[in-house]
Amino acid sequence: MKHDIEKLLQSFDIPDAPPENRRAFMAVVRAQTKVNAQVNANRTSARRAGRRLFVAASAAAVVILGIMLWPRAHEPRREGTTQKTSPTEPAVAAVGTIESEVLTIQRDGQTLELKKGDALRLEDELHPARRSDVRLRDGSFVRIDGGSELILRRPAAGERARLRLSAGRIFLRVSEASGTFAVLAGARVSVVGTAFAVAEHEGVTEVNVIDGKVKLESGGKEIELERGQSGAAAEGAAPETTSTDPNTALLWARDTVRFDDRPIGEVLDWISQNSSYRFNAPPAMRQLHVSVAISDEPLMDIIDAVVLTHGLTRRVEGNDIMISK
Amino acid sequence: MLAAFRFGDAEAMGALYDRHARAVRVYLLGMLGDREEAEDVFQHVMVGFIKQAASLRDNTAVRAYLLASARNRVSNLLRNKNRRDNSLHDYEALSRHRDGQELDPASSAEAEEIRRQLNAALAQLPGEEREVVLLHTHAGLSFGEVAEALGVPKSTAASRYQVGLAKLRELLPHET
Repeated sequence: MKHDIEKLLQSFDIPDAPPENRRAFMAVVRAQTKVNAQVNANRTSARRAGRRLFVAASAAAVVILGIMLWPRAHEPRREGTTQKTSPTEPAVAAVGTIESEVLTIQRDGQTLELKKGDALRLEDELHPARRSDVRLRDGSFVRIDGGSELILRRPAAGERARLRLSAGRIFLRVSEASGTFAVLAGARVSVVGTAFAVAEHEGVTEVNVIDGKVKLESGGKEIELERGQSGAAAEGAAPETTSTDPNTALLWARDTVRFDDRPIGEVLDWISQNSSYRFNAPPAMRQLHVSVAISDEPLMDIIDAVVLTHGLTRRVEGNDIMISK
Repeated sequence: MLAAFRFGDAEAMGALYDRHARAVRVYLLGMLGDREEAEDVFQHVMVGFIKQAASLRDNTAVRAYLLASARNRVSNLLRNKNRRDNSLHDYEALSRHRDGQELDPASSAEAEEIRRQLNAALAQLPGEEREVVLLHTHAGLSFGEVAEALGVPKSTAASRYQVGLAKLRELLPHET
C-alpha cells in the first residue's frame, strides 16, 4: 500500500523553540538596541563635528599654504637639490615594527612592553595578551592571536624571514619579494607571496590559505596548498589536506569593518582581499549601494546580506561566486 | 520592522522572531537531525541577525536572510565535520505524534515505529530535497516562499518536493 506521505509527515511534530529561547533573544536585542542608539548618537555628533572640522581645516590649509609658498616664491632657484630620505625609516637592526597599541615581548631575558611604532629585533619573543599586529621589514604583515608565542628567528640561506610559532595562531599577508618566507611550527611552512594562517596546538600544525600557494612540510613529506585549501600535520607525521574552510578558520583574524551606503563592488573587493572568494558581478550590480557591518560573522552570511538586499542571487563554484539578478 | 528596530524598537525584533523562528528551527532540525546541534546553530543565526539587522535595508527578505544564514552555518558545520548529507547518524527531526496523548498503547507503539522509519527515510534524502519537504510540510511555507528562502526558482522547489516525497514513499516499508 502506498502512503499518503504528506499526511504521515504532518502527523509528527517538529516542536517550537522553548520560550526561554525567545527571552534570551530579546535580551540580546535590547543590548544591541542600546549599542545602535550609541552608534547613531556618535555618528550624528561625528557628522556635526566633521562639518565644523572641515571649515576649520579649510581655513588652516589656506594659511599654511600661504606660509609655505611665500618663501619659495621669493627665494632664488637652487639647482641639484635632492629629497631627504624619510626620518621614519626603520633602523638597520630592526626586523619589524609593532602596529598595535601595545605588545609584550621577551628580549634578552627581560619582559618589555613595547608600543606602536617600536622596533622589533631578531630573537625577540612575542607574547601578546590580545590580538596584535606586526609589520616586518620586507613589508609582510603578521597578525598574532592573544596567548600565542612567536619568535623572530634569523633567516637561513635563501630565506628573507623566519618565524617560530610555539603555540597559538598567526595570520600572515606575505609581500611578494625574493626569498622564502618560513614559519616553523611542528611542521615547516614556506611561501613566496600569499595570505594564510598557521596554528600550532598540541603538536599539530594547521595551515589555512586564502590567497597564493603555501608549502607544508613535515615527516620528510610536503604538500602544496592553494587558495581556499587547508592542511594539517602532526609533529613528525606527513602533512595532509583537510576539509576545513579557511574562511571559517580565519574568523579570529578578521578586522571589523563597516560599510555605510557604499557600492556593492567596494564591499565585494574587500571580502575578496580578505578571503579565498573571488567575485564575478556585472558592473551595474557592483554600483548598487548597501550598508553592511563585517565582524566575526561567517563571510557567506555577509555575502548573502549584501546580495539579498537588492534581490540578487549568488552561485558558489569552489572559490568563485557569481552574482546575478 | 527593521527600520523600527533601527530606531530603538526592540519589540519589532520580537515580532520578526515570532514570524520566522519556526521556519529556521524546522530547517536546522531537518538538516542536522540533532536537537542540541540545531539549537546551537539557531542561537548563532539569531544573534548574527541581531548584529546585522541595523545595517540591512528595510526591504530585506528577513526569512530568506535567516535561512541563508542557517544554510551557510549548516554547510560549514557539515564540511568541518567531514560529514555528508546522506550519512546522518541518529537523525531525529520528527519528534512526537501530534495526537500522541490520545493514542492507546498499541497505536502509540505503532506511531513510534512509523516515526523512527520516517526519520530514517528523511536522513537518506539529499539535503536539497529534505529542506524543501520539511519547510513545506512543517514550517508551512508555500512553494513561492520556499523558493525565495532558498534562492531557487519556484518550479525547482516544487519539483524537489515531489521527488523528495516519491523517494520517501520508496524508502518506507509498504506495509506500514
